[in-house]
Amino acid sequence: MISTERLADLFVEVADTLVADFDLVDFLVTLCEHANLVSSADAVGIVLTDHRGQLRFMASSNESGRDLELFQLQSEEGPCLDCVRTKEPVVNADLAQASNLWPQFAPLAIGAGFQSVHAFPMRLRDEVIGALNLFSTHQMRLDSQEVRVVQSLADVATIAILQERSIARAEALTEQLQGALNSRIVIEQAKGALARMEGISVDQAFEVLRRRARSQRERLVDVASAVLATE
Amino acid sequence: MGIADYRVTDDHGDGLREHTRAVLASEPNVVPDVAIGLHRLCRAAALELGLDQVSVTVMTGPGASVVVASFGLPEFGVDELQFDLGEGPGLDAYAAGRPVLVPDLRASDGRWPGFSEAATQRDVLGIFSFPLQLGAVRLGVLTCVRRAAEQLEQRELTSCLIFSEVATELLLDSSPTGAHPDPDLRAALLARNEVYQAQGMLTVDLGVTLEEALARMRAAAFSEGVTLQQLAAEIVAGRRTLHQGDDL
Repeated sequence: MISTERLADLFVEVADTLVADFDLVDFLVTLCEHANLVSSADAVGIVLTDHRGQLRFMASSNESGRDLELFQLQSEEGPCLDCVRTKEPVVNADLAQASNLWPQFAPLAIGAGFQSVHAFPMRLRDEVIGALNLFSTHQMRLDSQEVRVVQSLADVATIAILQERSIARAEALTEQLQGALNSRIVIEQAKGALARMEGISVDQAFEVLRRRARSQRERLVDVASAVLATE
Repeated sequence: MGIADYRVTDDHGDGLREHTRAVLASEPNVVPDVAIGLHRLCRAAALELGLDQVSVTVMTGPGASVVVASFGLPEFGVDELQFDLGEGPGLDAYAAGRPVLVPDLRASDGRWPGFSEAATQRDVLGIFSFPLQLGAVRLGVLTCVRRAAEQLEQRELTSCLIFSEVATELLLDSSPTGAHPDPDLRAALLARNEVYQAQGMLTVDLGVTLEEALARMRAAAFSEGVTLQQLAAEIVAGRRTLHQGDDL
């Protein structure tokens, strides 16, 4: 069930964020967390396509969401790949019935405690630049109204990537996507460095970076770069 | 295969990379010269994409740069111009860590007034700058120049991005401890967050730069006969690290 109250909170936060010079990775992680709450899913993740057409992990609501996305990327199959290929949503997929469709991914996801998945395309004109995935540990069914709501969240993610002032510029998408993919790498490098400096896990290091970004009102990628620059 | 016949889009640049490496390896007594590889790359990019000039500039900071390879009409001097003026799309691409694509300098909203004026006087209207980078490792910029005001088509843009990946790999290969060509480097870099995390960890463990951390991992993986991903996963899991003097 979609919570309309939480949905309202989400759009307020989105509106607040999109006006400033925001950090895309941080924003997409926050969007995943909100989408997770709003939809009562158990994990949400976002992948983006690079210039080779390969999907790359971008953001997730939690570690399960990241692992489920990485399962798909590593096995090269799963709802997000189907969704990007067909440019259509994959909704209400029952993992127990999906072992023919996704012979590697389905058992891995079930093994991680999940039962159902959904994937929504991030569409821009006639292109699909990525996908938003919902994962649930039970049989989560979305009705047609809810499908529209979740699709609108995927559309918000697309809009965020096109933060550019003049969306009409054909070059803007490539510039933004490439920048986003690289800033994800900067964050991973900083997670590693910070984990060693502080003697914490890489997941804890990510939370420390996000907290610092919030409290210092800086972009996550800038905080990550600063960690690496102290070396 | 002549490099001029080569189509980067057929194989994601693998052929170009292999070709470049084969040329370098055929002269075993010569220290592999990254400039030769980059020059071939600039030439291949210019011929394949019909560009008037392609160049690679290596930067060690916003103020320190050197054009290491260039093909095409040198009189444009767009790289030198940017550094002299302290502004331009290449400097922005380097600083922001993302491409800056300008099909027509006359319509660039006054972002680089001095540079735009000087470049258009030299008959340059289109300039496309691609950062050579791996996360926080910032190596330089690949610059593609067109005299005419013309967009890069999607296919051309994809080729440019692949050329800049190959250039990045060549630059990473040229670091002192990274002399072992590692065929799985690209696969490892694309697929696994662990490689980047381990890279960050080694900057702390070894007190080295990110670039050197990667070179150390590649050398260690090579000498141990494991993949970069396997080694990185071991490092991230805390089961091992590298030490000063390892694998040198």
